[in-house]
Amino acid sequence: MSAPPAGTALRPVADRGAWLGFGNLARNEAAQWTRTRSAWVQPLVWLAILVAPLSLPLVFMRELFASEAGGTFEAALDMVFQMGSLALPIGAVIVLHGAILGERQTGTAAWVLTKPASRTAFVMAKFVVHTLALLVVALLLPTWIAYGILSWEAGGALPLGRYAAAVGLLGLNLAFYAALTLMLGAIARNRGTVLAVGLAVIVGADVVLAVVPALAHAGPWVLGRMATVLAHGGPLVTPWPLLAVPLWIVAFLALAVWRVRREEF
Amino acid sequence: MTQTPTPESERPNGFAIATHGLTKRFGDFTALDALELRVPRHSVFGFLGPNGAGKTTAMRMLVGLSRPSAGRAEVLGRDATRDSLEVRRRVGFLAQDPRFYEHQTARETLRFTARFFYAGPARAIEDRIDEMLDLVGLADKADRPIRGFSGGERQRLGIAQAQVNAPELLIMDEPAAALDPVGRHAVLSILGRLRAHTTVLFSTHILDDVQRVADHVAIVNRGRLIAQAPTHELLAGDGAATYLIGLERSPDGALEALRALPWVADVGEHPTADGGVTLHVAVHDEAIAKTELLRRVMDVPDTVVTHFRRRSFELEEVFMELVRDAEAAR
Repeated sequence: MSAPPAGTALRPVADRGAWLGFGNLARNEAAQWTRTRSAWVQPLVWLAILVAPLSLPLVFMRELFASEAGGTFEAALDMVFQMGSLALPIGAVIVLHGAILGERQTGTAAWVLTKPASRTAFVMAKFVVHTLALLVVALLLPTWIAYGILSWEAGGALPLGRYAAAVGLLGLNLAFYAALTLMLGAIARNRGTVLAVGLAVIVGADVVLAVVPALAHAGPWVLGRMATVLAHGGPLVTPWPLLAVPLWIVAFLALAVWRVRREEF
Repeated sequence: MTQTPTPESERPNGFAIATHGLTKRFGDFTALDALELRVPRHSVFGFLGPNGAGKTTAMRMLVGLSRPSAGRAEVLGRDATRDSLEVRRRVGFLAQDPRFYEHQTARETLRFTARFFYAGPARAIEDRIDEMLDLVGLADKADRPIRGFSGGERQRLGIAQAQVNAPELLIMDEPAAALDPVGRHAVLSILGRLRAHTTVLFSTHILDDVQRVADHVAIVNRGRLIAQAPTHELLAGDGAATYLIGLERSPDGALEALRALPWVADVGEHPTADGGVTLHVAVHDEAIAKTELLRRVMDVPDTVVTHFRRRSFELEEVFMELVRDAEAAR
Protein backbone atom coordinates (compact mmCIF):
# COMPACT_ATOMS: atom_id res chain seq x y z
CA MET A 1 0.00 0.00 0.00
CA SER A 2 1.35 3.44 -0.90
CA ALA A 3 2.24 5.35 2.26
CA PRO A 4 -0.07 8.32 2.81
CA PRO A 5 1.51 11.58 1.70
CA ALA A 6 4.03 12.84 4.21
CA GLY A 7 2.65 15.14 6.85
CA THR A 8 -0.95 13.96 6.52
CA ALA A 9 -3.13 12.09 8.96
CA LEU A 10 -4.64 9.92 6.24
CA ARG A 11 -5.52 6.44 7.40
CA PRO A 12 -5.35 3.63 4.80
CA VAL A 13 -8.38 1.40 4.33
CA ALA A 14 -8.19 -1.97 5.95
CA ASP A 15 -7.65 -4.98 3.73
CA ARG A 16 -10.97 -6.74 3.29
CA GLY A 17 -9.91 -9.28 0.74
CA ALA A 18 -12.71 -10.14 -1.68
CA TRP A 19 -14.85 -7.38 -0.16
CA LEU A 20 -12.28 -4.64 -0.63
CA GLY A 21 -13.98 -1.45 -1.68
CA PHE A 22 -17.48 -2.69 -0.84
CA GLY A 23 -18.30 0.15 1.55
CA ASN A 24 -17.24 2.87 -0.86
CA LEU A 25 -19.01 1.21 -3.78
CA ALA A 26 -22.16 0.71 -1.73
CA ARG A 27 -22.16 4.38 -0.71
CA ASN A 28 -21.82 5.32 -4.35
CA GLU A 29 -24.73 3.09 -5.36
CA ALA A 30 -26.85 4.39 -2.49
CA ALA A 31 -26.25 7.95 -3.66
CA GLN A 32 -28.31 7.09 -6.76
CA TRP A 33 -31.29 6.70 -4.45
CA THR A 34 -30.60 9.46 -1.96
CA ARG A 35 -28.94 12.20 -3.95
CA THR A 36 -30.86 12.16 -7.18
CA ARG A 37 -34.48 12.62 -8.12
CA SER A 38 -35.06 8.98 -7.19
CA ALA A 39 -35.17 10.09 -3.56
CA TRP A 40 -38.67 11.45 -4.12
CA VAL A 41 -39.71 10.00 -7.46
CA GLN A 42 -39.40 6.34 -6.51
CA PRO A 43 -41.54 6.55 -3.35
CA LEU A 44 -44.22 8.42 -5.27
CA VAL A 45 -44.15 5.88 -8.08
CA TRP A 46 -44.55 2.93 -5.76
CA LEU A 47 -47.23 4.58 -3.73
CA ALA A 48 -49.05 5.16 -6.99
CA ILE A 49 -48.63 1.52 -8.01
CA LEU A 50 -49.42 -0.22 -4.74
CA VAL A 51 -51.47 2.19 -2.64
CA ALA A 52 -53.34 4.47 -5.02
CA PRO A 53 -55.29 1.56 -6.60
CA LEU A 54 -56.86 0.93 -3.18
CA SER A 55 -58.94 3.98 -3.85
CA LEU A 56 -60.93 1.97 -6.39
CA PRO A 57 -62.51 -0.59 -4.04
CA LEU A 58 -62.45 1.67 -1.01
CA VAL A 59 -63.61 4.97 -2.48
CA PHE A 60 -64.49 5.38 -6.12
CA MET A 61 -66.03 1.99 -6.85
CA ARG A 62 -66.98 1.05 -3.36
CA GLU A 63 -70.51 0.01 -4.13
CA LEU A 64 -69.43 -2.24 -6.96
CA PHE A 65 -66.82 -4.03 -4.88
CA ALA A 66 -69.11 -4.19 -1.85
CA SER A 67 -71.53 -6.33 -3.80
CA GLU A 68 -68.87 -8.91 -4.65
CA ALA A 69 -67.89 -11.89 -2.50
CA GLY A 70 -65.42 -10.79 0.15
CA GLY A 71 -66.41 -7.18 -0.09
CA THR A 72 -64.24 -4.13 -0.31
CA PHE A 73 -61.67 -5.26 2.26
CA GLU A 74 -60.89 -8.56 0.51
CA ALA A 75 -60.72 -6.77 -2.84
CA ALA A 76 -58.31 -4.19 -1.45
CA LEU A 77 -56.12 -6.82 0.22
CA ASP A 78 -55.99 -8.80 -3.03
CA MET A 79 -55.05 -5.68 -4.91
CA VAL A 80 -52.03 -4.94 -2.73
CA PHE A 81 -50.52 -8.40 -3.01
CA GLN A 82 -51.42 -9.11 -6.61
CA MET A 83 -50.08 -5.79 -7.76
CA GLY A 84 -47.01 -6.33 -5.60
CA SER A 85 -46.33 -9.78 -6.97
CA LEU A 86 -46.28 -8.41 -10.52
CA ALA A 87 -45.03 -4.85 -10.17
CA LEU A 88 -42.13 -5.48 -7.79
CA PRO A 89 -40.33 -7.99 -10.04
CA ILE A 90 -40.86 -5.69 -13.01
CA GLY A 91 -39.49 -2.84 -10.94
CA ALA A 92 -36.44 -4.89 -9.99
CA VAL A 93 -35.72 -5.71 -13.63
CA ILE A 94 -36.07 -2.09 -14.68
CA VAL A 95 -33.94 -0.70 -11.85
CA LEU A 96 -31.15 -3.26 -12.14
CA HIS A 97 -30.98 -4.05 -15.84
CA GLY A 98 -28.30 -1.45 -16.48
CA ALA A 99 -26.45 -1.73 -13.19
CA ILE A 100 -23.49 -3.66 -14.59
CA LEU A 101 -24.10 -3.42 -18.31
CA GLY A 102 -24.52 0.33 -18.19
CA GLU A 103 -21.22 0.80 -16.40
CA ARG A 104 -19.48 -1.42 -18.91
CA GLN A 105 -20.92 0.60 -21.77
CA THR A 106 -20.10 4.00 -20.29
CA GLY A 107 -16.61 2.95 -19.21
CA THR A 108 -17.08 3.72 -15.54
CA ALA A 109 -16.66 0.04 -14.64
CA ALA A 110 -13.21 0.08 -16.23
CA TRP A 111 -12.36 3.21 -14.26
CA VAL A 112 -13.61 1.87 -10.92
CA LEU A 113 -11.85 -1.45 -11.38
CA THR A 114 -8.46 0.23 -11.71
CA LYS A 115 -8.92 1.22 -8.08
CA PRO A 116 -8.42 -1.21 -5.18
CA ALA A 117 -11.94 -2.57 -5.41
CA SER A 118 -12.60 -6.25 -5.86
CA ARG A 119 -14.91 -7.36 -8.63
CA THR A 120 -16.91 -9.29 -6.06
CA ALA A 121 -17.50 -6.08 -4.14
CA PHE A 122 -18.44 -4.34 -7.39
CA VAL A 123 -21.25 -6.83 -8.04
CA MET A 124 -22.42 -7.27 -4.47
CA ALA A 125 -22.60 -3.56 -3.76
CA LYS A 126 -25.10 -3.22 -6.58
CA PHE A 127 -27.19 -6.17 -5.42
CA VAL A 128 -27.23 -5.23 -1.75
CA VAL A 129 -27.91 -1.54 -2.18
CA HIS A 130 -30.49 -1.67 -4.94
CA THR A 131 -32.33 -4.64 -3.48
CA LEU A 132 -32.43 -3.01 -0.06
CA ALA A 133 -33.55 0.27 -1.59
CA LEU A 134 -36.32 -1.46 -3.52
CA LEU A 135 -37.37 -3.40 -0.44
CA VAL A 136 -37.71 -0.18 1.54
CA VAL A 137 -39.06 2.18 -1.08
CA ALA A 138 -41.05 -0.16 -3.31
CA LEU A 139 -42.23 -2.75 -0.82
CA LEU A 140 -42.13 -1.73 2.86
CA LEU A 141 -43.24 1.86 2.50
CA PRO A 142 -46.32 1.21 0.35
CA THR A 143 -47.33 -2.05 2.00
CA TRP A 144 -47.20 -0.54 5.46
CA ILE A 145 -49.19 2.44 4.37
CA ALA A 146 -51.59 -0.09 2.87
CA TYR A 147 -51.60 -1.95 6.22
CA GLY A 148 -52.85 1.20 7.88
CA ILE A 149 -55.51 1.74 5.26
CA LEU A 150 -56.64 -1.88 5.31
CA SER A 151 -56.72 -1.98 9.11
CA TRP A 152 -58.89 1.09 9.06
CA GLU A 153 -61.18 -0.55 6.50
CA ALA A 154 -61.30 -3.75 8.58
CA GLY A 155 -62.20 -1.83 11.70
CA GLY A 156 -59.14 -3.03 13.58
CA ALA A 157 -55.47 -3.86 13.18
CA LEU A 158 -54.77 -6.75 10.85
CA PRO A 159 -52.77 -9.67 12.29
CA LEU A 160 -49.30 -8.16 12.10
CA GLY A 161 -47.29 -11.35 11.89
CA ARG A 162 -49.32 -12.81 9.06
CA TYR A 163 -49.23 -9.56 7.12
CA ALA A 164 -45.48 -9.21 7.68
CA ALA A 165 -44.90 -12.78 6.51
CA ALA A 166 -46.90 -12.10 3.37
CA VAL A 167 -44.86 -8.96 2.74
CA GLY A 168 -41.74 -11.04 3.34
CA LEU A 169 -42.75 -13.40 0.54
CA LEU A 170 -43.06 -10.45 -1.81
CA GLY A 171 -39.62 -9.34 -0.68
CA LEU A 172 -38.14 -12.73 -1.44
CA ASN A 173 -39.76 -12.58 -4.87
CA LEU A 174 -38.24 -9.16 -5.45
CA ALA A 175 -34.78 -10.33 -4.37
CA PHE A 176 -34.96 -13.26 -6.82
CA TYR A 177 -35.60 -10.96 -9.76
CA ALA A 178 -32.97 -8.50 -8.58
CA ALA A 179 -30.34 -11.24 -8.53
CA LEU A 180 -31.54 -12.64 -11.86
CA THR A 181 -31.37 -9.25 -13.54
CA LEU A 182 -27.92 -8.52 -12.15
CA MET A 183 -26.69 -11.86 -13.48
CA LEU A 184 -28.21 -11.18 -16.89
CA GLY A 185 -26.53 -7.79 -16.92
CA ALA A 186 -23.18 -9.42 -16.21
CA ILE A 187 -23.61 -11.84 -19.11
CA ALA A 188 -25.53 -9.97 -21.79
CA ARG A 189 -24.13 -7.34 -24.12
CA ASN A 190 -27.19 -5.16 -24.52
CA ARG A 191 -29.92 -3.82 -22.30
CA GLY A 192 -32.68 -5.14 -24.52
CA THR A 193 -31.64 -8.70 -23.87
CA VAL A 194 -31.61 -8.20 -20.12
CA LEU A 195 -35.00 -6.54 -20.12
CA ALA A 196 -36.52 -9.08 -22.48
CA VAL A 197 -35.31 -12.14 -20.62
CA GLY A 198 -36.13 -10.68 -17.22
CA LEU A 199 -39.64 -9.68 -18.21
CA ALA A 200 -40.18 -12.95 -20.03
CA VAL A 201 -39.41 -14.88 -16.86
CA ILE A 202 -42.03 -12.79 -15.04
CA VAL A 203 -44.85 -12.88 -17.53
CA GLY A 204 -44.10 -16.31 -18.93
CA ALA A 205 -44.30 -18.02 -15.57
CA ASP A 206 -47.97 -18.91 -15.87
CA VAL A 207 -47.40 -20.45 -19.28
CA VAL A 208 -44.52 -22.54 -18.00
CA LEU A 209 -46.37 -23.64 -14.89
CA ALA A 210 -49.33 -24.73 -16.96
CA VAL A 211 -47.01 -27.08 -18.83
CA VAL A 212 -44.81 -28.18 -15.90
CA PRO A 213 -46.75 -27.57 -12.67
CA ALA A 214 -43.98 -29.08 -10.56
CA LEU A 215 -41.78 -26.08 -11.34
CA ALA A 216 -43.98 -24.08 -9.02
CA HIS A 217 -42.04 -25.53 -6.10
CA ALA A 218 -38.64 -24.85 -7.66
CA GLY A 219 -38.86 -21.11 -8.26
CA PRO A 220 -40.48 -17.85 -7.21
CA TRP A 221 -43.53 -18.06 -9.49
CA VAL A 222 -46.09 -18.86 -6.78
CA LEU A 223 -44.63 -16.58 -4.10
CA GLY A 224 -47.09 -13.84 -5.03
CA ARG A 225 -50.08 -16.16 -4.74
CA MET A 226 -48.69 -17.60 -1.51
CA ALA A 227 -48.41 -14.08 -0.13
CA THR A 228 -52.00 -13.28 -1.08
CA VAL A 229 -53.28 -16.50 0.53
CA LEU A 230 -51.23 -15.86 3.66
CA ALA A 231 -52.49 -12.29 3.94
CA HIS A 232 -56.06 -13.54 3.71
CA GLY A 233 -55.48 -15.87 6.65
CA GLY A 234 -54.76 -19.01 4.67
CA PRO A 235 -51.91 -21.45 5.17
CA LEU A 236 -48.45 -21.45 3.67
CA VAL A 237 -49.32 -23.43 0.55
CA THR A 238 -45.87 -24.95 0.02
CA PRO A 239 -42.54 -24.45 1.79
CA TRP A 240 -40.32 -25.46 -1.11
CA PRO A 241 -39.99 -22.05 -2.77
CA LEU A 242 -38.69 -20.72 0.54
CA LEU A 243 -35.74 -23.09 0.13
CA ALA A 244 -35.37 -22.95 -3.62
CA VAL A 245 -35.52 -19.20 -4.14
CA PRO A 246 -32.65 -18.31 -1.78
CA LEU A 247 -30.57 -20.97 -3.53
CA TRP A 248 -31.39 -19.42 -6.89
CA ILE A 249 -30.40 -16.00 -5.54
CA VAL A 250 -27.05 -17.32 -4.36
CA ALA A 251 -26.50 -19.09 -7.68
CA PHE A 252 -27.34 -16.00 -9.73
CA LEU A 253 -25.03 -13.83 -7.66
CA ALA A 254 -22.24 -16.39 -7.85
CA LEU A 255 -22.61 -16.52 -11.61
CA ALA A 256 -22.64 -12.73 -11.85
CA VAL A 257 -19.48 -12.48 -9.75
CA TRP A 258 -17.80 -15.25 -11.75
CA ARG A 259 -18.62 -13.53 -15.03
CA VAL A 260 -17.47 -10.10 -13.88
CA ARG A 261 -14.22 -11.56 -12.55
CA ARG A 262 -13.51 -12.95 -16.00
CA GLU A 263 -14.59 -9.86 -17.89
CA GLU A 264 -11.97 -7.75 -19.62
CA PHE A 265 -13.17 -4.21 -19.23
CA MET B 1 14.29 -25.76 1.28
CA THR B 2 13.82 -23.95 -2.03
CA GLN B 3 13.74 -20.20 -1.93
CA THR B 4 11.28 -18.19 -3.92
CA PRO B 5 13.25 -15.95 -6.26
CA THR B 6 12.97 -12.30 -5.37
CA PRO B 7 10.89 -10.53 -8.01
CA GLU B 8 13.03 -8.36 -10.20
CA SER B 9 11.05 -5.33 -9.08
CA GLU B 10 11.89 -5.83 -5.43
CA ARG B 11 15.61 -6.29 -5.83
CA PRO B 12 17.72 -3.30 -4.85
CA ASN B 13 17.60 -0.75 -7.67
CA GLY B 14 14.99 -2.97 -9.28
CA PHE B 15 12.32 -2.00 -11.71
CA ALA B 16 8.91 -0.56 -11.00
CA ILE B 17 7.62 -2.60 -13.93
CA ALA B 18 9.17 -5.71 -15.42
CA THR B 19 7.30 -7.65 -18.07
CA HIS B 20 8.35 -11.10 -19.21
CA GLY B 21 7.10 -12.17 -22.60
CA LEU B 22 3.89 -10.26 -22.02
CA THR B 23 1.53 -11.18 -24.83
CA LYS B 24 -2.07 -10.41 -25.65
CA ARG B 25 -4.03 -12.01 -28.42
CA PHE B 26 -7.58 -11.36 -29.53
CA GLY B 27 -8.45 -14.41 -31.55
CA ASP B 28 -5.93 -14.57 -34.38
CA PHE B 29 -4.76 -11.02 -33.84
CA THR B 30 -1.71 -10.46 -31.64
CA ALA B 31 -2.03 -7.04 -30.08
CA LEU B 32 1.09 -7.37 -27.97
CA ASP B 33 3.88 -9.80 -28.71
CA ALA B 34 6.28 -10.93 -25.98
CA LEU B 35 6.86 -7.49 -24.48
CA GLU B 36 9.99 -7.25 -22.35
CA LEU B 37 9.58 -3.89 -20.68
CA ARG B 38 11.80 -2.62 -17.86
CA VAL B 39 10.74 0.59 -16.18
CA PRO B 40 13.31 1.76 -13.63
CA ARG B 41 12.05 3.16 -10.35
CA HIS B 42 11.86 6.95 -10.13
CA SER B 43 12.05 7.35 -13.86
CA VAL B 44 9.74 9.19 -16.17
CA PHE B 45 9.31 6.53 -18.81
CA GLY B 46 7.89 7.35 -22.19
CA PHE B 47 6.02 4.55 -23.87
CA LEU B 48 5.97 5.56 -27.48
CA GLY B 49 4.31 4.15 -30.53
CA PRO B 50 1.77 4.92 -33.23
CA ASN B 51 -1.92 4.37 -32.67
CA GLY B 52 -2.68 0.67 -32.40
CA ALA B 53 0.87 -0.25 -31.43
CA GLY B 54 -0.17 -2.01 -28.22
CA LYS B 55 0.52 0.65 -25.61
CA THR B 56 -2.98 0.75 -24.15
CA THR B 57 -3.19 -3.04 -24.29
CA ALA B 58 -0.04 -3.30 -22.19
CA MET B 59 -1.19 -0.71 -19.68
CA ARG B 60 -4.55 -2.36 -19.21
CA MET B 61 -2.80 -5.60 -18.30
CA LEU B 62 -0.59 -3.80 -15.81
CA VAL B 63 -3.61 -2.49 -13.90
CA GLY B 64 -5.62 -5.69 -14.06
CA LEU B 65 -8.29 -4.69 -16.55
CA SER B 66 -7.32 -7.58 -18.82
CA ARG B 67 -5.30 -10.76 -18.54
CA PRO B 68 -2.27 -11.72 -20.58
CA SER B 69 -2.56 -14.46 -23.16
CA ALA B 70 1.00 -15.41 -22.31
CA GLY B 71 3.84 -14.14 -20.17
CA ARG B 72 3.48 -12.04 -17.07
CA ALA B 73 4.07 -8.62 -15.63
CA GLU B 74 5.55 -7.60 -12.31
CA VAL B 75 4.45 -4.26 -10.97
CA LEU B 76 6.19 -2.99 -7.84
CA GLY B 77 7.25 -6.52 -7.10
CA ARG B 78 3.82 -8.08 -7.43
CA ASP B 79 2.28 -10.13 -10.19
CA ALA B 80 -0.07 -7.79 -12.04
CA THR B 81 -2.71 -10.49 -12.57
CA ARG B 82 -2.55 -12.60 -9.43
CA ASP B 83 -1.98 -9.69 -7.04
CA SER B 84 -4.00 -7.12 -8.93
CA LEU B 85 -5.73 -5.68 -5.85
CA GLU B 86 -2.42 -5.08 -4.12
CA VAL B 87 -0.99 -3.52 -7.28
CA ARG B 88 -3.97 -1.20 -7.60
CA ARG B 89 -3.50 0.00 -4.02
CA ARG B 90 -0.10 1.35 -4.94
CA VAL B 91 -0.66 2.53 -8.48
CA GLY B 92 -2.46 5.50 -9.99
CA PHE B 93 -3.94 5.08 -13.46
CA LEU B 94 -5.17 7.55 -16.04
CA ALA B 95 -6.99 6.00 -18.98
CA GLN B 96 -6.76 7.37 -22.48
CA ASP B 97 -10.33 8.57 -22.44
CA PRO B 98 -11.18 8.94 -18.76
CA ARG B 99 -14.77 8.18 -17.85
CA PHE B 100 -16.50 9.28 -14.67
CA TYR B 101 -19.99 9.34 -13.26
CA GLU B 102 -21.50 12.28 -15.08
CA HIS B 103 -23.81 13.30 -12.27
CA GLN B 104 -20.94 13.66 -9.81
CA THR B 105 -18.93 16.80 -9.37
CA ALA B 106 -15.14 16.85 -9.57
CA ARG B 107 -14.95 17.00 -5.79
CA GLU B 108 -17.33 14.04 -5.39
CA THR B 109 -15.34 12.06 -7.95
CA LEU B 110 -12.10 12.65 -6.08
CA ARG B 111 -13.79 11.85 -2.77
CA PHE B 112 -15.11 8.59 -4.22
CA THR B 113 -11.63 7.78 -5.54
CA ALA B 114 -9.86 8.73 -2.31
CA ARG B 115 -12.13 6.51 -0.26
CA PHE B 116 -10.81 3.45 -2.02
CA PHE B 117 -7.46 4.24 -0.42
CA TYR B 118 -8.19 6.15 2.77
CA ALA B 119 -10.65 5.40 5.53
CA GLY B 120 -10.28 8.80 7.12
CA PRO B 121 -10.19 11.16 8.80
CA ALA B 122 -12.70 13.02 6.68
CA ARG B 123 -10.97 16.37 7.09
CA ALA B 124 -7.65 14.97 5.89
CA ILE B 125 -9.33 13.41 2.86
CA GLU B 126 -10.98 16.72 2.00
CA ASP B 127 -7.62 18.48 2.34
CA ARG B 128 -6.08 15.96 -0.03
CA ILE B 129 -8.91 16.52 -2.50
CA ASP B 130 -8.39 20.28 -2.35
CA GLU B 131 -4.69 19.74 -2.96
CA MET B 132 -5.40 17.67 -6.06
CA LEU B 133 -7.92 20.18 -7.38
CA ASP B 134 -5.33 22.93 -7.01
CA LEU B 135 -2.68 20.78 -8.68
CA VAL B 136 -4.71 20.43 -11.84
CA GLY B 137 -6.36 23.83 -11.79
CA LEU B 138 -9.92 22.68 -11.18
CA ALA B 139 -10.51 24.31 -7.81
CA ASP B 140 -12.94 26.82 -9.27
CA LYS B 141 -14.93 24.07 -11.00
CA ALA B 142 -14.82 21.56 -8.17
CA ASP B 143 -18.54 21.59 -7.45
CA ARG B 144 -19.89 21.50 -10.98
CA PRO B 145 -21.25 18.24 -12.44
CA ILE B 146 -18.75 16.56 -14.71
CA ARG B 147 -21.28 16.34 -17.52
CA GLY B 148 -20.54 19.98 -18.22
CA PHE B 149 -16.76 19.51 -18.37
CA SER B 150 -14.71 19.93 -21.50
CA GLY B 151 -12.35 17.22 -22.70
CA GLY B 152 -9.39 19.05 -21.24
CA GLU B 153 -11.09 19.44 -17.88
CA ARG B 154 -11.91 15.75 -17.78
CA GLN B 155 -8.29 14.99 -18.58
CA ARG B 156 -7.14 17.19 -15.72
CA LEU B 157 -9.61 15.54 -13.39
CA GLY B 158 -8.22 12.22 -14.58
CA ILE B 159 -4.73 13.30 -13.58
CA ALA B 160 -6.02 14.40 -10.19
CA GLN B 161 -7.77 11.11 -9.48
CA ALA B 162 -4.70 9.17 -10.55
CA GLN B 163 -2.60 11.10 -8.06
CA VAL B 164 -4.96 11.21 -5.10
CA ASN B 165 -3.33 8.23 -3.36
CA ALA B 166 0.23 9.51 -3.89
CA PRO B 167 1.02 6.34 -5.83
CA GLU B 168 4.41 4.70 -6.07
CA LEU B 169 3.74 4.25 -9.77
CA LEU B 170 1.70 6.42 -12.05
CA ILE B 171 0.53 4.88 -15.31
CA MET B 172 -0.91 7.39 -17.73
CA ASP B 173 -2.28 6.62 -21.15
CA GLU B 174 -1.93 9.68 -23.38
CA PRO B 175 -2.03 12.17 -20.49
CA ALA B 176 -1.59 15.22 -22.69
CA ALA B 177 -4.23 14.24 -25.20
CA ALA B 178 -7.22 16.54 -25.53
CA LEU B 179 -5.23 19.39 -23.96
CA ASP B 180 -4.36 22.71 -25.51
CA PRO B 181 -0.65 23.70 -25.64
CA VAL B 182 -0.85 25.43 -22.27
CA GLY B 183 -2.49 22.40 -20.72
CA ARG B 184 0.03 20.09 -22.32
CA HIS B 185 2.87 22.14 -20.96
CA ALA B 186 1.33 22.05 -17.49
CA VAL B 187 0.91 18.28 -17.61
CA LEU B 188 4.45 17.72 -18.81
CA SER B 189 5.72 19.98 -16.04
CA ILE B 190 3.82 17.93 -13.50
CA LEU B 191 5.30 14.73 -14.89
CA GLY B 192 8.78 16.12 -14.59
CA ARG B 193 8.23 17.17 -10.96
CA LEU B 194 6.81 13.79 -10.01
CA ARG B 195 10.10 12.05 -10.68
CA ALA B 196 11.36 12.65 -7.18
CA HIS B 197 8.33 11.03 -5.57
CA THR B 198 7.17 8.33 -7.89
CA THR B 199 7.75 6.43 -11.10
CA VAL B 200 5.81 7.55 -14.13
CA LEU B 201 4.98 5.45 -17.15
CA PHE B 202 3.18 7.45 -19.76
CA SER B 203 2.21 6.56 -23.26
CA THR B 204 1.98 8.98 -26.10
CA HIS B 205 2.30 9.28 -29.83
CA ILE B 206 3.60 12.86 -29.48
CA LEU B 207 7.34 12.50 -29.80
CA ASP B 208 8.08 15.97 -28.57
CA ASP B 209 6.41 15.23 -25.23
CA VAL B 210 8.65 12.24 -24.68
CA GLN B 211 11.78 14.11 -25.63
CA ARG B 212 10.91 16.92 -23.24
CA VAL B 213 10.33 14.95 -20.04
CA ALA B 214 11.12 11.26 -20.37
CA ASP B 215 14.46 9.97 -19.19
CA HIS B 216 13.72 6.51 -20.59
CA VAL B 217 11.88 5.53 -23.73
CA ALA B 218 10.41 2.36 -25.12
CA ILE B 219 9.13 2.26 -28.66
CA VAL B 220 6.53 -0.25 -29.74
CA ASN B 221 5.07 -0.84 -33.14
CA ARG B 222 2.50 -3.41 -34.21
CA GLY B 223 2.64 -5.02 -30.78
CA ARG B 224 6.42 -5.46 -30.70
CA LEU B 225 9.03 -3.65 -28.69
CA ILE B 226 11.55 -2.27 -31.15
CA ALA B 227 13.70 -0.14 -28.87
CA GLN B 228 14.15 0.56 -25.18
CA ALA B 229 16.86 2.78 -23.73
CA PRO B 230 17.57 5.89 -21.73
CA THR B 231 16.45 8.83 -23.82
CA HIS B 232 19.90 10.33 -24.18
CA GLU B 233 21.26 7.03 -25.51
CA LEU B 234 18.47 6.73 -28.03
CA LEU B 235 19.03 10.28 -29.18
CA ALA B 236 22.78 9.74 -29.44
CA GLY B 237 22.09 7.37 -32.29
CA ASP B 238 23.83 4.10 -32.88
CA GLY B 239 26.68 3.28 -35.15
CA ALA B 240 29.03 6.08 -36.16
CA ALA B 241 28.93 9.39 -34.30
CA THR B 242 28.43 12.38 -36.57
CA TYR B 243 29.84 15.86 -36.12
CA LEU B 244 28.41 18.99 -37.64
CA ILE B 245 30.93 21.61 -38.66
CA GLY B 246 29.68 24.93 -39.95
CA LEU B 247 31.95 26.83 -42.35
CA GLU B 248 31.61 30.28 -43.86
CA ARG B 249 32.23 28.89 -47.30
CA SER B 250 32.95 25.62 -48.99
CA PRO B 251 36.59 24.84 -48.27
CA ASP B 252 38.83 23.80 -51.12
CA GLY B 253 40.28 20.38 -50.49
CA ALA B 254 38.75 20.02 -47.03
CA LEU B 255 36.44 17.19 -47.94
CA GLU B 256 39.19 15.14 -49.54
CA ALA B 257 41.51 15.78 -46.63
CA LEU B 258 38.93 14.64 -44.12
CA ARG B 259 37.90 11.59 -46.12
CA ALA B 260 41.52 10.49 -46.21
CA LEU B 261 41.64 10.19 -42.43
CA PRO B 262 41.39 6.57 -41.32
CA TRP B 263 38.94 7.34 -38.50
CA VAL B 264 36.51 9.23 -40.73
CA ALA B 265 33.72 7.10 -42.22
CA ASP B 266 32.10 9.67 -44.47
CA VAL B 267 31.87 13.39 -45.10
CA GLY B 268 28.88 15.19 -46.55
CA GLU B 269 28.52 18.85 -47.47
CA HIS B 270 25.21 20.67 -47.06
CA PRO B 271 24.80 24.29 -48.11
CA THR B 272 23.18 26.64 -45.60
CA ALA B 273 20.82 29.55 -46.19
CA ASP B 274 23.49 32.15 -45.38
CA GLY B 275 25.82 30.97 -48.13
CA GLY B 276 27.98 28.80 -45.96
CA VAL B 277 28.11 25.03 -45.66
CA THR B 278 27.72 22.44 -42.94
CA LEU B 279 29.93 19.41 -43.07
CA HIS B 280 28.45 16.19 -41.72
CA VAL B 281 31.43 14.12 -40.64
CA ALA B 282 30.70 10.53 -39.59
CA VAL B 283 33.58 9.04 -37.61
CA HIS B 284 34.59 5.53 -36.59
CA ASP B 285 36.60 6.56 -33.57
CA GLU B 286 34.95 9.23 -31.50
CA ALA B 287 37.80 9.44 -29.01
CA ILE B 288 40.17 10.66 -31.72
CA ALA B 289 37.53 12.78 -33.42
CA LYS B 290 36.89 14.79 -30.25
CA THR B 291 40.46 16.03 -30.18
CA GLU B 292 41.57 15.88 -33.79
CA LEU B 293 38.64 16.68 -36.02
CA LEU B 294 38.33 20.39 -35.36
CA ARG B 295 42.12 20.79 -35.55
CA ARG B 296 42.22 19.08 -38.95
CA VAL B 297 39.47 21.27 -40.31
CA MET B 298 41.13 24.45 -39.11
CA ASP B 299 44.41 23.32 -40.70
CA VAL B 300 42.75 23.79 -44.08
CA PRO B 301 43.75 27.27 -45.35
CA ASP B 302 41.14 30.05 -45.37
CA THR B 303 38.73 28.07 -43.31
CA VAL B 304 36.42 29.91 -40.92
CA VAL B 305 34.53 27.63 -38.55
CA THR B 306 31.17 29.00 -37.41
CA HIS B 307 30.10 26.09 -35.25
CA PHE B 308 31.22 22.63 -34.21
CA ARG B 309 29.08 20.08 -32.41
CA ARG B 310 28.25 16.43 -32.14
CA ARG B 311 25.00 15.63 -33.83
CA SER B 312 22.18 14.51 -31.53
CA PHE B 313 19.10 13.07 -33.18
CA GLU B 314 15.63 14.33 -32.71
CA LEU B 315 13.45 11.60 -31.39
CA GLU B 316 11.31 11.78 -34.46
CA GLU B 317 14.23 10.79 -36.65
CA VAL B 318 15.14 7.90 -34.36
CA PHE B 319 11.56 6.79 -34.15
CA MET B 320 10.98 6.82 -37.90
CA GLU B 321 14.24 5.00 -38.55
CA LEU B 322 13.51 2.32 -35.97
CA VAL B 323 9.97 1.80 -37.19
CA ARG B 324 11.21 1.62 -40.78
CA ASP B 325 13.86 -0.93 -39.83
CA ALA B 326 11.33 -2.97 -37.91
CA GLU B 327 8.93 -2.96 -40.85
CA ALA B 328 11.72 -4.00 -43.18
CA ALA B 329 12.68 -6.87 -40.92
CA ARG B 330 9.12 -8.27 -40.78
